[in-house]
Amino acid sequence: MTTASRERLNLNTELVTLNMGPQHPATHGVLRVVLTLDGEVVLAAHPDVGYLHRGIEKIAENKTLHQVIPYTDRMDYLSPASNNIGLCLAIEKLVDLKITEKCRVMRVVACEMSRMASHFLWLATTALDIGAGTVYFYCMTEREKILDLFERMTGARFTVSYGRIGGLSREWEPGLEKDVEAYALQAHKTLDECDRLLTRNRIWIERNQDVGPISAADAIDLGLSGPNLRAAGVDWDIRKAYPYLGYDRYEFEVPVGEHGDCYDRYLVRLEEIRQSTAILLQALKEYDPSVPLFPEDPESRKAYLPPKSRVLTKMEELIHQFIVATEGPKTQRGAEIYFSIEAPKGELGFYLVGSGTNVAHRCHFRSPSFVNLQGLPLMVKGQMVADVIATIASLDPVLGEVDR
Amino acid sequence: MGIEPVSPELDAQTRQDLELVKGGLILGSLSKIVDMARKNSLWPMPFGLSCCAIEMMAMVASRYDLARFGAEAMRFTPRQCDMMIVAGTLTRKMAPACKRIYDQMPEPKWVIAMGVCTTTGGMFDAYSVVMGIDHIIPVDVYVPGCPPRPEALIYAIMKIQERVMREPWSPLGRRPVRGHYRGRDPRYKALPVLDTGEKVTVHGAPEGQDKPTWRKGYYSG
Amino acid sequence: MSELTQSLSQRFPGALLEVVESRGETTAVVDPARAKSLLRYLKEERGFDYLVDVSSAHWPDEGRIDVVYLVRNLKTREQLRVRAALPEEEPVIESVADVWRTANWLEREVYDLMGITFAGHPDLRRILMPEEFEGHPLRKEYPMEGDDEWRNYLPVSEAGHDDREP
Repeated sequence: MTTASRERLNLNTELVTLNMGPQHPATHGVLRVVLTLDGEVVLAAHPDVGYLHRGIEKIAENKTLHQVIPYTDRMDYLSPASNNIGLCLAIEKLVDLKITEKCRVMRVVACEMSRMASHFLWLATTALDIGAGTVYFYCMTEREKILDLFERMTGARFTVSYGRIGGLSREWEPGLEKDVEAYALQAHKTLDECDRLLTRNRIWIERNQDVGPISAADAIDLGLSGPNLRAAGVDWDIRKAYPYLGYDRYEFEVPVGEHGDCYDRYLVRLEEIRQSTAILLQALKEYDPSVPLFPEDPESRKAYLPPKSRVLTKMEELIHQFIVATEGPKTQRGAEIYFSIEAPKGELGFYLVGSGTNVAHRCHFRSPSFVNLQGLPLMVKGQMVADVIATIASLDPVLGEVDR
Repeated sequence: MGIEPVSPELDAQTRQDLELVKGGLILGSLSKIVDMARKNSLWPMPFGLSCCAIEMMAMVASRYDLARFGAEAMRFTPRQCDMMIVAGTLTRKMAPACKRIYDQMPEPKWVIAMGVCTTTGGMFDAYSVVMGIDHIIPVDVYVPGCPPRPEALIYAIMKIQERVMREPWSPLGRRPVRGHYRGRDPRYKALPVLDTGEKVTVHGAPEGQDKPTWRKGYYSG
Repeated sequence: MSELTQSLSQRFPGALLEVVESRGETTAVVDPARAKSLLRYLKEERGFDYLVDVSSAHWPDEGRIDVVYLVRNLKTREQLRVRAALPEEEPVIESVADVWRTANWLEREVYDLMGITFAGHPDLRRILMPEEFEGHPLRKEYPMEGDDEWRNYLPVSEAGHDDREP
């Protein structure tokens, strides 16, 4: 009821401060949002983060560059492979190392697979938050297939630590590329199923359309990135703007929304999964299993890890592996780089400052979810409490990344 | 219940018991029956903090189905749960919330510390991390792994089920704390809570000194 | 990019202390007192409408803390890093939260972890660490495992929580 009618009826209502979280089923981690409510309508929302602050940036200042890689796994823990590869790319930019073509293709495949895994999990949890529990099970099953492939590729289902400076941790087993291709060809089935279940579903549309809207100008001003920015109408994708890992030679579209509400974010992410399968199929055609993973020319060999098959049998490679893995490349004092990748959540940036030793002087992670979450108060103003849940879900914050 | 005896070479007592079972009777002590009902309907309180929560979610999904164990009812309110799965890194800012949720759970309750971050702090030896949740709550089962596979977590739940079966049932008596609780050590009690504005000295700090001198080695253990 | 830095040095004489170009990136080292007006000029007149990151770096042996802004022009895809060096004892700089709203939380994080005070920030308080925490963890002299900051905290058992008998 309006304020006027409330006054007429002499109802003395007060504003309610409702604390949502940090332990809450729908906050995607330990996020605390303090809502100021007028009845059911949200007047103000103040997100309170820091409940998962593990000091990763501080830890990274005490570890060699190789040792920072597992920490990036745990930041955006829905797509760990792309974080690792992003950090490795950033370090390679800092210390001027080049990667081989085969490594590039393998990295593209890992990045796109982790993008698909992350978006499937996003869809699963968002649908669960809004109430569509069936989609949760469909998408988690689909994600299990991706995790199986990751396990064959990297050894771990989940927190993979796949990237190494100058390359990757291991080669693929023979036949893996066929299985990845087979997976990419059938991934659309679950997508179509979820599409059929949700996209024209009256309840889904009512819960998501015009919920949490943000305009393009606001989105740019607030620094949103990734699907949140694209759903608002801004055509910005790091893979197209500053191409890395050879993304400029693959044909894929970047879906751009219109209204910037939850429904558009949903559609954008759904389409992104389809485009990822397209990129996967194109990249797998370029995979050549017969060439080595690391450069083998004599001048640059010493800077890279040697092939694992020789490490366990030859002395020189063993010593070489030991030195590279434990010490790693040295950074130049004062050299600073910023490198960003298009993580599934948005623009994941790495700001590295060299110190003259093999330990970075400053390792700052520009996490997309941290900046995206700033947009929450603007998005939920004037909406209902249930819309707060839908908005948080569609923003896709990963608290490991927000708090680092 | 209609169970046919598997092998005819059973002794007379067993045959007699099985005859009773065929007629629809189960014989057992009350505590065993209650524990059997309890263990097959453990309702977990998913205290999912970070990456391990994703593996916990994968455990509930259809591949590593937790519903087989009767435990798929993940009630997010502690008042209705009997098992708390702490999954993820516990930071000092979050620790009061964890303790509060644990206190809100009714007896009997069990705690699974999932992952190395809850067990010992994991790879995060940093200023803001509680190095193991057993500093603040008693833990029954520790699951190592970063993150542990869903099968490992299911094994942990099965271990909790074994503990449940060993539990003496008493309607009046208070259940003794059997979990490992490092917090019982009087030297380590200081933990973050809500700020009341006043500053107190840390419990267990040696008298007459400002700094607690037992910081480093003990804390990162 | 050199055209940009040239116009910056013409427009703000004396503010642009150094321009570093390496690895395809341009860094403009500026005087901290004029950093905000320079950044505002970049946004309003050169179209750098996207603030990517606000970061910091502590150099204890040189006695300075750098605050680093990374701004980007979405249309021309240019990126510029603006760096300002602040004294270690009392690092204060003007906040750009009214220029880009992105800077709100980013500056709060820099304040929380590094201790740089942003004058004019609408809501400068700790964001990642608890409110009552003392100290700035990302400074080089702060130990990684943590300091005695837990003196500010009450013991959990004193707050009336259940403390079981062994």
